[in-house]
Amino acid sequence: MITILNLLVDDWVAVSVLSVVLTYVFYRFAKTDSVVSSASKKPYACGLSVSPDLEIVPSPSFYKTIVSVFRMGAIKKLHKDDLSTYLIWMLFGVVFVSCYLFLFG
Amino acid sequence: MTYFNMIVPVLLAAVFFITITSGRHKHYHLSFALGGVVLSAIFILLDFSKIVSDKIMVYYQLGWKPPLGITFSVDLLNYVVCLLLIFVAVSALAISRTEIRDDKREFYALFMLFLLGLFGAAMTGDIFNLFVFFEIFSIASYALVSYTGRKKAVLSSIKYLIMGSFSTSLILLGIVFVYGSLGTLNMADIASKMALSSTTATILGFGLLISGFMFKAAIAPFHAWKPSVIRDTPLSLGLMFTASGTIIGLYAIFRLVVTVGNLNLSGMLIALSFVTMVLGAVLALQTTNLKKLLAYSAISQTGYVLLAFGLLSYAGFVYHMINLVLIDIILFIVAYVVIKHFGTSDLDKMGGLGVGNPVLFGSALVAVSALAGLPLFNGFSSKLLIYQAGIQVFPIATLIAMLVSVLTLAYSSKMLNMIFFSNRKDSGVVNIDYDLKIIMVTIAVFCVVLGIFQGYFTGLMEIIAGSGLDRELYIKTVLGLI
Repeated sequence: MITILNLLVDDWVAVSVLSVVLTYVFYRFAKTDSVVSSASKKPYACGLSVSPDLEIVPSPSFYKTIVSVFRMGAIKKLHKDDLSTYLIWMLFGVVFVSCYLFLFG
Repeated sequence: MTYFNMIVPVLLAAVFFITITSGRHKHYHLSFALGGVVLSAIFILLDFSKIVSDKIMVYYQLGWKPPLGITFSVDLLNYVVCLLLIFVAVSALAISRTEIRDDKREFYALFMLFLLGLFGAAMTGDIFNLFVFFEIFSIASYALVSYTGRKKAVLSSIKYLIMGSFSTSLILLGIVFVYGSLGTLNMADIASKMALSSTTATILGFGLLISGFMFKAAIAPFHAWKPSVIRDTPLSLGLMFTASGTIIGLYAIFRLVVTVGNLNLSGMLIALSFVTMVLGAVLALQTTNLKKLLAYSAISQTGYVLLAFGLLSYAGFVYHMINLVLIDIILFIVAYVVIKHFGTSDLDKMGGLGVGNPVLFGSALVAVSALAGLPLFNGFSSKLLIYQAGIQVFPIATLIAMLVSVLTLAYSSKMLNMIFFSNRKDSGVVNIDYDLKIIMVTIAVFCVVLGIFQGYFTGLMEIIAGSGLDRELYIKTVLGLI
């Protein structure tokens, strides 16, 4: 994989390939007549009929799993715009930096 | 003859002309601001051949030599920082052209004071002047945060002022300790005396100075001010805070730790970089406010720059700092255009811009790919340098950085999905001003070029970082010994 990457990097071939890919992507999204609507295109659901509401996966649901893995409620709670909490962090930071410099600087 | 010393007077003149121009002549304020920035850019570019030949340019205020006189010294490292400041300032002014509608005189006068402080901090060779310039841009920024006059903005401004005052007090106290122990304020003079007569007070002084600059760069645990400030300010200012403020803070830490102090703080920098990277990425993943997401993203990317510093990959440090600025410029312009279109910064209420907006989508795609460090984009090149440095000395660092890259991909793709697809309805064609379009596309091309020709640019970054590492040359040149 690294060898392939090394071959690609620093090469005009890479510039050409990327330019073509980006041009294609821009072209695809520039076409206003290619609007995807739930009415014109039905997703494949193994022969089952899916209601229009279920055809679209809303973003919050889509990222729910990964967000739940890194929920870390404590971190979120500590970022509630509470000035005194922030000042305590800063004080902790100063002590940490100063102690490190004393010990290892 | 040098020209860089003209930048501060030129920006001050711009502030003066903006202030004396009547509030009725609204279009003049932006013109004066832009004129000041363009003139500064010209002065920087005129010095290009001199910086290449001399490596360090020094200007003695009123002809007084150090350690008594005040000096401005510019090597390749802060020359690049100055260029980045110009890029950010032009982009922020382009956004502000349509974003700022009322009280333009006050806004642009404060904006130029902010910029003056940043340039001064980037060029000064004296720690007390560094403090003065940090204070200039900090005070201007406190006023700018509350510029809109909304209750939330004023509240954020007050909190930012209290935290900012705490950090500048640390810097001032640090200067007191350093001056008290070494008897000088000139950076080159401090560097020459450090090895011979540094005491506990000097070390404590450096600790306080580094802590103060970490606040400006929004490094954890000094990062908390950033999301609320970015949320409550106009995006043109958000860009200035996120890109310019961060690079000046990082530059000051680099100059202090490497050139002046010659300190080995790898362990501390790596530890803080982990906290910064992970915190920023996790919080960016959870927020649905576009402005806050950009702030958390910038915090996370600052962690990468700090990691490069800690792993002694100075080329990676410079490379990722440049990338951070370029990516932020694109993302803030995209955010401005999108928020203006939808009238909200809530990502849940966005979507459907993926059709009919090729320039906007293309630029956002490039920025997000670069942010996530996908191959062939500039983010990949700089992260590769960091990973390579980490693999050799501290493999766990590389592993954590890679994990954070995955989180970056997750939150940046979430942002892309929610803006451009999400509800899959057609939200129409977004009207983008030509100046913003040109800036976005130009910087997107830069991102691709920096990513593809990484071999060439890595060499260039090594040269730039190397100029900041040459302590002996710095000391001798600034003190006038050669």
